[in-house]
Amino acid sequence: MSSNASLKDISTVLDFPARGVKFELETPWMITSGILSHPGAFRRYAGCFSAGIGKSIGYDVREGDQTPVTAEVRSGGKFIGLINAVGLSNIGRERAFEELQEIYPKLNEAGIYFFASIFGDTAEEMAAVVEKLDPVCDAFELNDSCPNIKPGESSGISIGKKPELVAVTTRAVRRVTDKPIWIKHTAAVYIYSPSLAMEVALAGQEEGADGHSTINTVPGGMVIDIHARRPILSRDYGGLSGPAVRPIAVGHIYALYETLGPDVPLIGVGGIETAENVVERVEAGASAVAIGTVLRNKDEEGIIEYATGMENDLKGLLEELDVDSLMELRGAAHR
Amino acid sequence: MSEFVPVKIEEIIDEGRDTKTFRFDNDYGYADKDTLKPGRFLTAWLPDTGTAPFSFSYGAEDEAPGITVHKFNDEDEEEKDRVGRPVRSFTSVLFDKEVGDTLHVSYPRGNSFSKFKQYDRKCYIGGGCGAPPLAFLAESDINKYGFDVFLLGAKTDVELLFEDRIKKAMRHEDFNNVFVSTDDGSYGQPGRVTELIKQVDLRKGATTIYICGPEAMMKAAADMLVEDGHDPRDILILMERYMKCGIGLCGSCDCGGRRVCVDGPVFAYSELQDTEFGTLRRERSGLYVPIVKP
Repeated sequence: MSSNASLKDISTVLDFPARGVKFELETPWMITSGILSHPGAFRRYAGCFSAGIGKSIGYDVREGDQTPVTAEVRSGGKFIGLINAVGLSNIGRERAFEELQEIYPKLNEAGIYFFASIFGDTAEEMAAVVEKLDPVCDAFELNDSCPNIKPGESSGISIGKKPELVAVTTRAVRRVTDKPIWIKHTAAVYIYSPSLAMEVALAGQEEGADGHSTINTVPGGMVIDIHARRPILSRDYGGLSGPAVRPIAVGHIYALYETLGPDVPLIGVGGIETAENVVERVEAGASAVAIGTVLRNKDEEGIIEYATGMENDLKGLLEELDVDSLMELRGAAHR
Repeated sequence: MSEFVPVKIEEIIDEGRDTKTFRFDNDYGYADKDTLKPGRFLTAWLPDTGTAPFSFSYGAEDEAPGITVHKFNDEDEEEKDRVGRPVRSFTSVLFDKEVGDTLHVSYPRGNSFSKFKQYDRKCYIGGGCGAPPLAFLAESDINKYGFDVFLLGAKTDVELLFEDRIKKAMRHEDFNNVFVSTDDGSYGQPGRVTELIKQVDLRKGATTIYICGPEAMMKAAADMLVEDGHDPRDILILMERYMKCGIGLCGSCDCGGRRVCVDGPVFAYSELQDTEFGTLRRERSGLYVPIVKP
């Protein structure tokens, strides 16, 4: 990296004027929900990530699915994606509160923002979880998009596919917290009907959501082990993540930026591996990005090396693109 | 989970009460001697049942890789899976397998002992099902130093594993260097393997100590050694935790922010000392549950 590149500004700000807070992130990437589920690990990587979104927490303890819960997707030996169906396993709001009560102040001290991801079957359940976790996080991500729910359950994607349910749940949550809220969306609605996806986002916006993140994993994926003659996932189907979903994730952010404009913070998730992927997402309209799948099979050294490499690559790329700061590029791909 | 490869079971050895060794072919060439090292593990998948990680108990060059497994009883018969069959434990389904059957495995996984700085003089402390991977490790150490020792323990004589194999690997012409204990006194010295630590001279400094066994026993042994003046960086622990994704993403096997599946399963005790190691572990939902003291 040249000396000029080292001066480049790769920081970003998630600005929520309506809540009177802004989160200043030294690097534009955070850990996405479901990755390194227990925040103790976030603290270990304090030097690598400016923020982490926690594993989705629900009203009660939930075991989730039997293993295998993930399967790699390969093409000609090359990794192109991952399917997963963990089934929203989590320790429930009460125990999550107890654990976060201990770890949240330490994350604060280490300069890491902690955003709580929450889900629920009803608006009341979601509000109860948010109310409980309000003192131990900086903001909330509403998981209205998890595809791995059981028949009869009405959380996750069951909410995110209907503007009226997004409105009801967001309203309920807004009543119990003054912290920023953003909604995590599903690609399924956007693929099926981009205009419906925008209705969903606007419905949340009208009820007090402050921002949006997208995409959650793309539903309906299956990998079959041809020797065992069985789908690998215990649930058979799972959500797809990784490079294979990247164009969908870019498109969804682009459409949200087009609809909501530059004042609404957007977090881009899905298939981000390289500095180019970060810039692409920012040019599409993201204010920050979150990563997950790219960290697979990386040990502690591997994660640190990855984060350091990304920082250098991104600064170098900004120099190549002849801009001083990453955020100058936000929305640059729009006409 | 990474891809699974089919391997054929070549041999099944009954090792005593509820314990069997499964040895299988390596025809896929998926693991060679440079990658299949002591301390690493495989993840076995039984379609329709689940997955479980197992450390290698065999894996030296020119021999069939193997795992040694203790059977856990079936879970509550009342519990049904999603197609209405009673839920059976992974190990009880595995124990139904016969020679010639196929296992679906992903291996080798995790770090290994070779990642750590080690001294020529070595001490092994193996308890119960923790002894097999250490037997593989002791066999792999070709430069035996004169004062190496192996402390081997089990609850009872029938649960004692690989005594002959360990004695062969540790053989020394002039003196006995394998010490055996059983909790109930049915064989060897009566008492826990930690009692042996008090009696055997493990020589402080320039000695690497390897511990594998039930987590509470490992913590008790490591704490004793540290109190005795051993450097926690020279105590290497082979750990086991409930694993979900097995590729370092989900964090289910987290201990103090380190993941057993990719940062482990071998840790220096200095990495575990100030964590919940030996006291708490996470179960499938992520909830902490206490680890039963020995």
